[in-house]
Amino acid sequence: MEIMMTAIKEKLRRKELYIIAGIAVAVLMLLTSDNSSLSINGKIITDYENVVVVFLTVTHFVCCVLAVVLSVGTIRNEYERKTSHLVWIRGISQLKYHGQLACANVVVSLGAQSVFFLILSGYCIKEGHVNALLYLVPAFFLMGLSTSIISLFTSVISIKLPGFVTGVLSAILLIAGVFHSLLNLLVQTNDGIGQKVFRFLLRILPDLNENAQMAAKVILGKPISFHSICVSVLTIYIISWGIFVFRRKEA
Amino acid sequence: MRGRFIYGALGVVLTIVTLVTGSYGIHPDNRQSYELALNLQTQVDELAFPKFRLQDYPVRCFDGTYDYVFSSQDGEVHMEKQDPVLGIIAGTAYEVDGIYQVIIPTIDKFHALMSVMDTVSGIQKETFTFGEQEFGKEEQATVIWHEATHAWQFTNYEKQILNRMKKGKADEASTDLSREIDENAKVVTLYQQEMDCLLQAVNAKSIDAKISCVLKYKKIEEQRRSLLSEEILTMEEYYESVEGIAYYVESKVYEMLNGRAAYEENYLMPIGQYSNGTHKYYSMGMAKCLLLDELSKNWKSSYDYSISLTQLLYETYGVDSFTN
Repeated sequence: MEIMMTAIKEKLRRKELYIIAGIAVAVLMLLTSDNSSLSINGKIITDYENVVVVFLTVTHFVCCVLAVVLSVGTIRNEYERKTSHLVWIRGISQLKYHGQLACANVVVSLGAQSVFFLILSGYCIKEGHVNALLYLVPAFFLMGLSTSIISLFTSVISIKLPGFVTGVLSAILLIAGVFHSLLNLLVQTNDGIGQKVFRFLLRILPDLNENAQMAAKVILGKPISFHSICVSVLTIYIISWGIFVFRRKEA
Repeated sequence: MRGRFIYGALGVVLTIVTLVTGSYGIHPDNRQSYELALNLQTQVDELAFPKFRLQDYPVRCFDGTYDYVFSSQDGEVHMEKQDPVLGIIAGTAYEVDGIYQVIIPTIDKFHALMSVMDTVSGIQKETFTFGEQEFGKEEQATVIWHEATHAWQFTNYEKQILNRMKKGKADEASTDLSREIDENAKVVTLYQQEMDCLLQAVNAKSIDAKISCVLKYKKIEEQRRSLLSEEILTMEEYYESVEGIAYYVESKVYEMLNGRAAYEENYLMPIGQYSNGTHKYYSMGMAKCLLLDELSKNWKSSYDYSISLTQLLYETYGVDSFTN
């Protein structure tokens, strides 16, 4: 736990989290302003339900990007700074070391996400939907499944791969996950050699958009799919095995 | 070691729970929409298309991986899972083992596709629009009948239709349409005038008023024809007759399910609205079918796609000998 807490404290000292808060406020102000050009079915959205849906959609994408940014360099930097030697001489295993660093990345990514949810809770109170605050908690954890998947994946592959490659692969997972439904449709409306390859990729890559949709449904009091939650948790579990499998030679 | 064993066991439990909570196969709404469509056969019979029975054309619902083939025998609906024929999301009629079958996406695929198309269309109009199209069993039933009409058309009039497709080079349609029609302001203006005439004719109360509108339409249409190539004109006639008639059947099924007011709002009023691409021919063809119905529904028994729907309209209304 000590390694994890140290990594978290280090990330809190960096400026990314404070930029996030600024983005969250700017997005919400944009959505709720009269000059908004966002619309659903031809109606300019300023009403509560539609603002929540759009805000969560934007939050989901931004938090996934931030998860990559916050997680991509953590483990690699520890080895570059030779901080890892301080860990080996204490007899701490690679599994424990990498595991705690990966957990720190997930916690900080969820922390960044919580900033958005704090802003959203303020909006709900302002609009008189105080009872929605209860549903923000499960919505946070549902969206947190996506954030955790991205953060954990980035952390795990960063154990073995250089920073640039880690970033690219994480970006691919992010785009495929966030735009999964849209990409699926595009693949299924076209024919060709590449179609089978893309279809296979989309089948194995997780549908992160589903988590954002479930978060919105929870806040708006609509039913969600337990199976989708299981799929995301199973995805996190499978990725976590990378911590057991991937090792660094320096230890 | 014990820790890894427990962690491994957790994974097994997670996997089992995930598999057990999943739903497999096709959503029951798709079967119900097919049954709903079948139940409308008696009402569709009143449209007087000869030997047009939905049960003659199996309906294949593509869910992204498999085709779920619905068919009806002796009043019972059967469903069979098969490998996909096309393997892409499309609404069409396609020949499978010598029989034309309807191929459509499942309801949720259709819903997702329409929402995306609405969003893209909004972005093209420089607004960030989220589409929330309503698409359920009833909408699917109307699509089934639209595509089944194509299956019936190709089963009975394939030679004439293919002949018209080749002459009009329908496969190259989209580029030529854009260049010759949608980007030509004069042609667009004439089209809009024609569509206004058709809408007036459809809404007119008396046959004399309708004849007057059709005559006015003919004069404008002749002006427009002089500006377009023979290939484009043949292609337009193809879309109007094939898609227009299918759209007419779809609109009537929609009216059966949703009532007159919704039908007028979604199918009749748009007759007067110009749109880029091929969709305007759907509306115009449908309008011509409605006008033909005013004089006699029996036109469907004799129409064999060898002439255009427009020519049939002129002959039926007795204006074909009038020139500009």
